[in-house]
Amino acid sequence: MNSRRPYRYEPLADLSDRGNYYLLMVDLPHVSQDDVHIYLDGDTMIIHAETTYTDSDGGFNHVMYNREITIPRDADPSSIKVSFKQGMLKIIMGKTTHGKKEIPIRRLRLKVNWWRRQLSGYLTWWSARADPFSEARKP
Amino acid sequence: MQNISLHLQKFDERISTLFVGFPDAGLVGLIASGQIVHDQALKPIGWMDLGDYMPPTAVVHSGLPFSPVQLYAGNGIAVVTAEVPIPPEASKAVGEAIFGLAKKISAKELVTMGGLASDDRYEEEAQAMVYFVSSDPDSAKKLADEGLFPLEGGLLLGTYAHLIMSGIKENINVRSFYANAYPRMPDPGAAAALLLVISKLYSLKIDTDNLIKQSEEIRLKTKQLMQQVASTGKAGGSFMYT
Repeated sequence: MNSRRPYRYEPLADLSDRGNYYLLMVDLPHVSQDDVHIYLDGDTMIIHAETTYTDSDGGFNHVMYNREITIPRDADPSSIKVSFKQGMLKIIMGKTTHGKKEIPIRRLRLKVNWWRRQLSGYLTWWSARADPFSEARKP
Repeated sequence: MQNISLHLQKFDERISTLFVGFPDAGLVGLIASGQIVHDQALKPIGWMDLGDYMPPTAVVHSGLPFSPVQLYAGNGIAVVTAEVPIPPEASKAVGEAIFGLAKKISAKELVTMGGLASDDRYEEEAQAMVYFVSSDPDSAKKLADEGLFPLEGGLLLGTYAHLIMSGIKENINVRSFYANAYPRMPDPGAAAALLLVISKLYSLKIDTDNLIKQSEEIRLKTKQLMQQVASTGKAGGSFMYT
């Protein structure tokens, strides 16, 4: 006979760098929004959820999800936005600009223009020759 | 010795199309092939032994052990599916075995189904896009005429690539369909999008609505396999490795 102790899972998570923000997806099947708890402890995000559900075979299930994720150093905790849909937790974290120094490109304009001319000539040459087989491949 | 062997039961049915679905990005191939087997009520007709390419492995369902690579048939179609990631070093031999099977059962066409890892999919609310690659230019034109999108560029590696190139060599039509999918999470929604295309092209009755309804259950059941697939690198990157 099966006990009703919860199955403990570490949910699948995928953290990706989307340029000016981070996207964290956490898969929490069968969980509803009210069952999800998110904590931030320093640079660690703790995601906890617990729920019960009946599967398609009529079986009773009690699941508990727990996952700790180290957030990137330049993630801005004050900008975190969370949404939840069909068991998928979506967390968007902006990036801080602390410690970053912008390199002024304008001062290099003369050199940039020189390089731009070189690059433009190269690109013209390249686009003229790029994929010379494209016509031949057409069915 | 690294022999791969096929263990086939006797069956008399004529097979027109052999579908192949292996675990990859979003587990699209596995989920799609499983749904075809279920909805078409296909029967097991054999299994594949990966020999020394894989340590002895048995997948257990309801107390019964099964080979990780199973073959099913019925209604004029056959399906090859795997419940473990195919080791890269076995991909060519597995491709040869599947192509040999296609010839043995006189299948007219081979169809592979897979996922195309896409981070953008996490942010898309719309249905996943489906792309095709075809070994036969006429077949590619027909698919384009049906309104499907060709995969414009990229690199195919692994078993599916072997099947496509074998299709060109042996003059058997091999079509590969890829749906944009979550890179490192099971994506039944992407599998459903791919199956909509398959059901239309091959006139197969497939209940994609039910697949979507069972999405969360499928995601939980396939979580561990997804972790294995992600750790082999088959789920991500800029190329399709199946």
